[in-house]
Amino acid sequence: MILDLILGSVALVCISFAYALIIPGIERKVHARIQNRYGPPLTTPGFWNVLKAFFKQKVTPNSPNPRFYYMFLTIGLLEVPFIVLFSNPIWWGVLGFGTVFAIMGLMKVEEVDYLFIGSFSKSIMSLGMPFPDIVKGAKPAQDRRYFEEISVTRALKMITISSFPVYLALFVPFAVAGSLQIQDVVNMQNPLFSPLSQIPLNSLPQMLSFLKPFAFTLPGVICTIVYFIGYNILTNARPFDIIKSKVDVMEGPMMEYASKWRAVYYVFTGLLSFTLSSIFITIFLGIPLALNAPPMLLLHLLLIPILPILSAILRAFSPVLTFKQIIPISSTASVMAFIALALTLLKF
Amino acid sequence: MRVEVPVGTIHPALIEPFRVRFWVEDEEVVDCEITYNAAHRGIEKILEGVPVLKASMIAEKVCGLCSHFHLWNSIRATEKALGATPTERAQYIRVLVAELERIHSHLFFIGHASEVVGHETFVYRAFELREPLMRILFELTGNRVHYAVPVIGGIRPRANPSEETIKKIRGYVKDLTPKLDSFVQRFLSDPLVMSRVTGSGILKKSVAEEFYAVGPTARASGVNNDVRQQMPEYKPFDYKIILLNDGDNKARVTLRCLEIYESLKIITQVLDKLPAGPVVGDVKLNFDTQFAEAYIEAPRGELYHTLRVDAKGKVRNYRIRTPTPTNLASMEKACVGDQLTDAVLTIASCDPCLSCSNRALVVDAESGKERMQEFNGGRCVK
Repeated sequence: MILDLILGSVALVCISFAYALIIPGIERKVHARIQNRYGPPLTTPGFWNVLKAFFKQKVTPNSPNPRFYYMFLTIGLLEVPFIVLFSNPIWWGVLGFGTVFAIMGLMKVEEVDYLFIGSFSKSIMSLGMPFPDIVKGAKPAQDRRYFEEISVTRALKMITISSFPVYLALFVPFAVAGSLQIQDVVNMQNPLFSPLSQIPLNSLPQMLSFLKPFAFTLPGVICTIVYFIGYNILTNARPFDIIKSKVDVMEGPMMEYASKWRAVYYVFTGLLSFTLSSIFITIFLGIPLALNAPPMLLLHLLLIPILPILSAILRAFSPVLTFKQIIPISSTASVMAFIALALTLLKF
Repeated sequence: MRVEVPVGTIHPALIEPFRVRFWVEDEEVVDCEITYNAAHRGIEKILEGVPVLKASMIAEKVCGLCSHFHLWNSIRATEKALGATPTERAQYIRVLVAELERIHSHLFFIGHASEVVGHETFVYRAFELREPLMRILFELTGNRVHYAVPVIGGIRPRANPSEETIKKIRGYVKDLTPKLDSFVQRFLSDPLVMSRVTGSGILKKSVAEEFYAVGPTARASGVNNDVRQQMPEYKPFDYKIILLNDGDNKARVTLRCLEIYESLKIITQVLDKLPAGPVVGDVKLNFDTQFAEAYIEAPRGELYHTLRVDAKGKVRNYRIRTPTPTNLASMEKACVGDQLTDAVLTIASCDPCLSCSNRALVVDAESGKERMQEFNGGRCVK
């Protein structure tokens, strides 16, 4: 049993990492086609770019403590695969990890990670000239702020204001199932994964005939829209990439990651996209990444690019939004999520 | 808490080397300071003592984006000094190249503004519209940039358009109009882009006048200062001076979109009325001239060239005043009250051209001594 758990987890992590290296390529290809460009080859942005960055010359970051600066990215990279694992059938029974709180908790850790990363980055790009400011008529320099500090403030605002509706939307299917267990949410939509199910797990048509995805109900459609907005917020994708808006704070907290740490960051972002897509497919469509049901596994992997592709389309048609626009959007999304929750509680 | 955020001189949002210091409270800009001259080029110094026939070619190199305007205005000032008159056909062709260049500059600006807003697709769309224009300019002048069309007394004969070239330009104008309609309509009706540009970077008319803002920056605030109204070259053509009153980033972008249509109107009229005859006239070179000056409406606003030719036919005291310094100074005021991210857009919305502007002179009022502005002196002041 423990060996199965270990081997299954290793397989899932390998699948996640492999897919994480492809997703950026898919996004870039969609983005480019919308702009009448060919775009880079599919494997270039995710795989070859990472490989290239990995062998670049090591650059010490401008940071009060580079080790901490690296550590927080490592924490992000290590905790994200656990979100995939906890939403997977093989972990459902382990110490209560297969609950909505475990997933939300880890997602929150990922969000908070940017605060720490930003706090430990002091890029030279934020500084003035390396000699006294003697421009005629210039105001004396005081209280100069690093770009990363602005990004941290923005990240804090995003945590408090913008990501709230995502968690609310994620909670709705659990309210429908009347349980905090992911297993119950999946069973509600897909009885195949019930421990009492006698249906064989190798026939896709038969499996699909039992599938009743939550996303196809009215509250589900609302929650899907809210989750999609949240997907873009959590992955810092345009139009919600204010924490790394190029025109002012450039790369924000991630500015000082170079060479192999830049490669790690690329993998981390790809992995995050994969993870959030995987959660959506498991919780909103009732199709978990089940290793013991190959057709379901295949279907899950085929559906993974949906959110990244939609995100790439949104990104191609959006400018960077400031908090003047983000706050109303976030408020609307929160209201939508509350309506979905109310509809659920009213058994609509 | 009020803190300072320095942007530049090296920053991905600034395509040229200047420095902006924002003082922000939370995300709101409460004060701003813009400094330039970090990359001094000293073209006026180079022009000192150059033979008059060569001087205009150097003046053209001031800017890549509005090279024709610099060259044309340099030639206008020189012709004024020497008492030369260009032929009528040459005048028309100068206007033709100028309006083609104005369109390409405005499309470049729209692309850059879209980039600063963060909308990549509009960047590509704007550049897709601009590319055929660059090919037309290549066809007409033999170059995509630095066309070197005007010469003293006329234009270079290679830029005299054949019937086939005229047909191609007509085809371009016909082709561009519906594409531009579609682009402008989509751009101005995009709710996300409009939410970024509407109401941000407001430059009031009184502030625009106080800081001597010029060109589209001033006209978007309701200041009617298009130099083309005073230029005899534009007398034969019927076109409208676009004026908007909102003074925000949206107005500055919209105004340039609308000006492209007026330029297309002028181009069509030039092609319809293009007179026959020589493109270069006989010019008598009378050296040892008085100071001559010329104003022109470049894509960014009023451009001024002045010079004197000495007895040996060499240029003396060449001075250039470009539209950017006063426009940037206005933007210092316009961006106050913006969100930090919008403030960068506001600065970009006056389409600053630092390669044009890094040449200011410091004159000591008491001694009358002049020195070229160095790095530590490029403060934008009223």
